[in-house]
Amino acid sequence: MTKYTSRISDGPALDPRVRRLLAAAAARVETTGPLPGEDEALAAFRISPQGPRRNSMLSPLVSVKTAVASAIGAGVLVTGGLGAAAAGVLPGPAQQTASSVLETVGISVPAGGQGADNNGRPEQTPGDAADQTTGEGADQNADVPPAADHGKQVSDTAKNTTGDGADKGKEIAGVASDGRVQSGNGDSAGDHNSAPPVPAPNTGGTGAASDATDGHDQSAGAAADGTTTAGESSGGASTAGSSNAPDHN
Amino acid sequence: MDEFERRLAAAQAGDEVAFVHLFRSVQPTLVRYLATLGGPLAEDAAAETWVRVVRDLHRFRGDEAGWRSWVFTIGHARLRDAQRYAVREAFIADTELEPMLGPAADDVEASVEELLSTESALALIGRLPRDQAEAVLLRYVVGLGAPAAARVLGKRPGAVRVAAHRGLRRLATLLPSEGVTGLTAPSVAEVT
Repeated sequence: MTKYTSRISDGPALDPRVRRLLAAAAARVETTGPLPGEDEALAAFRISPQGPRRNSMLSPLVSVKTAVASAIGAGVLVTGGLGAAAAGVLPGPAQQTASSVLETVGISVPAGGQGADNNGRPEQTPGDAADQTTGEGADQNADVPPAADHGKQVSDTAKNTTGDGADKGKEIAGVASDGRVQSGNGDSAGDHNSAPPVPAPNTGGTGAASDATDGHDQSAGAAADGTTTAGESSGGASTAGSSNAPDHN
Repeated sequence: MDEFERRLAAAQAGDEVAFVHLFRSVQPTLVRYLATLGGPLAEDAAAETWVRVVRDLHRFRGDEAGWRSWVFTIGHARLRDAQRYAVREAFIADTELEPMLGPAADDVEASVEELLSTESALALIGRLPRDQAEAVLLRYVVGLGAPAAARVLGKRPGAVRVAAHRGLRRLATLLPSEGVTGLTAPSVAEVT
């Protein structure tokens, strides 16, 4: 039977009466039959989820369920992957991998890069991309450097050129249009006004050229109103200025 | 591996005999503790305690002292829950909340023989303030050390020691100076 330990002895010096009281309170109870509440506790123990016996019954069941679920999941994934590979709708690298792997087992599926990019969208050629971003004229400007570099080139030309007046304008326009647009040449300007280029905008030369190279928008605005010489315009504005010149005549 | 560890391992493996041994090692003092503090709520609190114990028995790790501390921690919490529920429902009259085992306070001096019984001794302890009664019961009736009793009560060991000390001093004032003096501790036969 259980032996109960009393802490009476290790406490402070106790009144003898208190010591006897505590001894009475802690007195052992010896019983032969079940203690009160024992049957209920035992019943709870029998249905409790403990002990290896219960676990050993549960474990195989859980393992089988897990295995079946895993097999079904794997089957769905493989089937879906094969279907997607056969349809050629996998992302580029995945499609390439699937194609190469399936080829080894004799199944031919489209390789990656044939009609789909990494995001599953139809693959675009550089030309297509250029058309979408720059419009019809983009094909002609395929060798035009990026906008930031182009603007810098035009700006550097405007700042560093040794030319003056119309010549400076022509040089800038040539750089701005990569030499394709010649509207800033003296002939066009002469046709436009039937007179030598107006000296006023070019007075000071450098200042006018600098203004013209602040950006394409500014240059475009100057050319569109037709009041400035073609030599002052630059960039895409040169085209507009060139086409406007006959209208004024 | 000592006897307790073997029984614990066997009970955790589903051995009913081993579980009964573990049950009997704690149940008498658990019932005393719960009955002294909870009166008529003790029986339900004890039953709830064992339901929780068997539910989590497979997770318990520790020695015999830890086992008793663990069971009493659960029992203490279950009793608190039962008492909160009883107060909320207000289905127990104030008189029924008095310790069911002991004599009335004014009967103590006149009940020298009765004072010798376990029940009356527990009833006297039950008249202490709650914190002192808990500390005295766990320390001197259940036999837990101050740290273990502190874990049961959710207090610091120092607080438990102080409460127990105050409880003992208060008990001394409750006991009659005559009658008890000279009497010996009861035998098992007397208690049962």
